[in-house]
Amino acid sequence: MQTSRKEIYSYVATLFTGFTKNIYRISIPETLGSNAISNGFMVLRMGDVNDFSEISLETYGQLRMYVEFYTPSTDTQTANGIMDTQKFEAAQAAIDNIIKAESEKQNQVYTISRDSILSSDDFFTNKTNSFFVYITSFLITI
Amino acid sequence: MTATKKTTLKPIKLEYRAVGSIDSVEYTPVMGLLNDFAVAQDSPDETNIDAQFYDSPFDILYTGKPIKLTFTLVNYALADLPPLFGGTYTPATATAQEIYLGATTAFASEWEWKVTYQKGNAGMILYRGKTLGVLKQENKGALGYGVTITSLVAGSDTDDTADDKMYAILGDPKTGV
Repeated sequence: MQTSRKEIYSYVATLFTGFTKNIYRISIPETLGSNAISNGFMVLRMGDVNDFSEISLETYGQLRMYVEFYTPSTDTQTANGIMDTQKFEAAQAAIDNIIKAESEKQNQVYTISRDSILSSDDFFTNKTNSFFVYITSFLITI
Repeated sequence: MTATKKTTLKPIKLEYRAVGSIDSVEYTPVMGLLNDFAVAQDSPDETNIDAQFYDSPFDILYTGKPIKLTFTLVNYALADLPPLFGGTYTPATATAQEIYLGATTAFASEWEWKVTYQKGNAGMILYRGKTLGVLKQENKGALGYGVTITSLVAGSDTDDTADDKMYAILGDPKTGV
């Protein structure tokens, strides 16, 4: 079992590098770059790894990975909270497709099980920039 | 030297070898178990010798039950399967993919099984375990084998039943000379 969290973060980040360059691990940075403000950014958060083995790390483990994408609202100057639905939907579809494509592959380093049950959304403001957040998650089996 | 009290827990190794092996024979490890490993022994059956004029019986005869080890094996090489569960294994060749053909009838094997613990007493041995595996996959779980190992008495070559063995718990290592 490859249980290094660093490696798992790298693996998931690599999946999304074609979609956005602004990928942050664990949490949102205090200062956002101009590209992140105008095009949005992604935050990856990882849950605890559960080991299903009787004899430690001999069978398989699972963890939940949360993917959050922050889409800028239509008017970032006034932070008026109007959702850019077009951008938001495009981001949602792109992320879902990447996860779906990966979940259909056989025998990768990590196995992704897609589930849409825990997808959600949220709102976030950084200084005068407001974002709508699409949150989805999937199970990784290692 | 007095023996020390110990709480024994956390299995770290499960392994087997041929019944009646001498000490130098190496065990084959079976490590890929789900966390449902269990050791159990049912209470003995009771037969009362009833008394006509009293509420309590004159005596009670007990019939003991075997020890059972149960676990789910989910991480295995296909080549590991035939000794435990029968069937045949063929490695991949240039023209055919690796294949394990499962046994078509119930297959039981007999092995000496040993569990090693991380804390407390060193381990436990079943000298002659009847080993039976059934194919199993629970909801969202891994494809594996539900294995039940039932202790039999390991007979000795002598007529004395005191020489027969069923199980042992291993404690302190040998002290050396």
